[in-house]
Amino acid sequence: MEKEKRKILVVDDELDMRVYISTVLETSGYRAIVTKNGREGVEKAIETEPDLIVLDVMMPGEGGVLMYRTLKTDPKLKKIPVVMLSAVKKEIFFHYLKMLNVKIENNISEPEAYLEKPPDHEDLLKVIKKLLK
Amino acid sequence: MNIVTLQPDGSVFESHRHLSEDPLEFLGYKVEIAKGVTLRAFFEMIKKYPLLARLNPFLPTYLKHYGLCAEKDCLYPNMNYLELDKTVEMIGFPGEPRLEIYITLHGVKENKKIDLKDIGLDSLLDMPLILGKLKHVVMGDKVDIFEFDTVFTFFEFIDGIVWELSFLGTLTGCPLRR
Amino acid sequence: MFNKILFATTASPTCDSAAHVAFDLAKKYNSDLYVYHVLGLPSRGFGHFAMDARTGETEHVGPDYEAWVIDEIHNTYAKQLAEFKTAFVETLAGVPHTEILRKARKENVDLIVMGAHSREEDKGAMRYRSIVGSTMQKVAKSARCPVLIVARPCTTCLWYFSNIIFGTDFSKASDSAFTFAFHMARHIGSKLWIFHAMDMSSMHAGKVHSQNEIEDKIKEARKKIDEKYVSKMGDYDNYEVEVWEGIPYVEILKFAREKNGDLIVMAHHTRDIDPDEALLGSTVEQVVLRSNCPVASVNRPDHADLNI
Repeated sequence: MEKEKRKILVVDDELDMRVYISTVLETSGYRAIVTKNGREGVEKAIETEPDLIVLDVMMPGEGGVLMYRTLKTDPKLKKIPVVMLSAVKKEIFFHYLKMLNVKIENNISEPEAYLEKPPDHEDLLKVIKKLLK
Repeated sequence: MNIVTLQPDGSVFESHRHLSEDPLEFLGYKVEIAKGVTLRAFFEMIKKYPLLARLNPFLPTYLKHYGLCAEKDCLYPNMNYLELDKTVEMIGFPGEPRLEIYITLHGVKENKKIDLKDIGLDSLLDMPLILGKLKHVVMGDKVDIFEFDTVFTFFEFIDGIVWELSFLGTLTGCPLRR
Repeated sequence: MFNKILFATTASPTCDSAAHVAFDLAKKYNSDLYVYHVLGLPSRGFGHFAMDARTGETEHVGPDYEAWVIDEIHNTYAKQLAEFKTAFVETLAGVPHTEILRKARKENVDLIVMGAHSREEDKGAMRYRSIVGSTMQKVAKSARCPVLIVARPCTTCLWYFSNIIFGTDFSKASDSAFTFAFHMARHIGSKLWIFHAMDMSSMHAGKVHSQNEIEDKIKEARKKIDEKYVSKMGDYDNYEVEVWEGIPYVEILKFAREKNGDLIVMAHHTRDIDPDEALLGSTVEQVVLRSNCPVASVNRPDHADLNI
């Protein structure tokens, strides 16, 4: 019997990035669930209970930050490891996360992993493997 | 110190001094707007200080349009007021990110932003005009935007408003064509 | 009129207005419509991966990601595709502008329709940034046919087109732009507005011009318009000529708004520059930023006469 594939939710507003990441995932034995904005992302996270989430934090409109905050403040969803993708350097991202935590009451934790966009496919798979162990 | 105030009739005061025709030296001053100021006051100001019309190539046209509008009741039903904001936002990806500071004019209805470009000048002139805050947008998060009181210079005030105005269509909008 | 239209899309919301125009035009003129997305794969590490997946030289049995993209595009434009069933939806991995130009040449399209940039921005934020993205820049520069830039939703009634505004600076590229504007106007029966803005400020910096001087210059410009353009229009009489004084992009926008223009046709760049070197002119960019109707950038004579 085939082992059930691990589900990974991918949230990115750019079509090309969604294709790239889901291709990398699907060809490595994972099942990719793909959405294009934070609102859909949260809905899918609740509906499909993925094993891991790959999230582009700086999408315009329904931003990735809002989704991230929703995830990390929900008792069930916060257990899902998040690989944060961002086009900015890690230090800048974490600086901004600190600023955000100054403003809001419930501090949101750092993501389990952080990768700069576009992620190297090997790096991405390594990080995911580690988090899913 | 170093403050100019725009009055509802379009006149500008520095301390208690009414500004003469040449307002150029005050462009770097902080601007405040008195209670009761509407977008109409902005145009009356340009009329009183014609040198200011040279700050932007669209201003003379909009001044002409202003002359064709009604003298009162130019209001937009689904809006509370007009707000001039400053935003600091990180942009630039892909590529090196940088911070940019830009000014926007938009309508506000119950805390919601309204884009002005599809609204004619004749629906905006009597809307109250206020100076908003500095918004620091963090990672595209438009929910908990950091807001700070800030200073707008007289120049930023004029320039920011006319930048937005340059996007407005004609007074007449789009008539049905046969 | 347009036998083939290439709509180059990123399938993101910023292309919605361009999609609207592309589908409407194709429907109205019974054109073949190519809905084309170039998958700009990240170069770091993936190029190799993609190549492998496509040639099959990999141990993974990869999913057909091209089919996946086409599926996504079908979803994005489901409504339009339902009404216009003969569109060709295609995708290719590569450098966007290269593939778009290649596709346009291969299919010998008459018109390329694109959005201006790839991400939604606040108007205030647009001020110091390039109004058109690098893909659009490169496509507009090297395209062998006119490029229709749709930056914002068109507030003009979509009659395609009843008032065509042709803005000229008398450059060589303007000649091609005129050919395009005229042939369209004549074929559709639209009103053609031939417009020239005289930028007196650049001519003699600091000098104050007398009213007579300005009027002389206007007469001169009108004469030029008659020689260069009106003379080529035969007996077509649904046109008007106007010459205004002012900064070109400001005047064109004012004029187009006043005349309810639903299409602005302009030369890609101003006079005296090699078309292969020229960047999209700042006048075109400024017009694209604020125009309520599509702007056609014409760089070369190819396809300007619409094969009519």
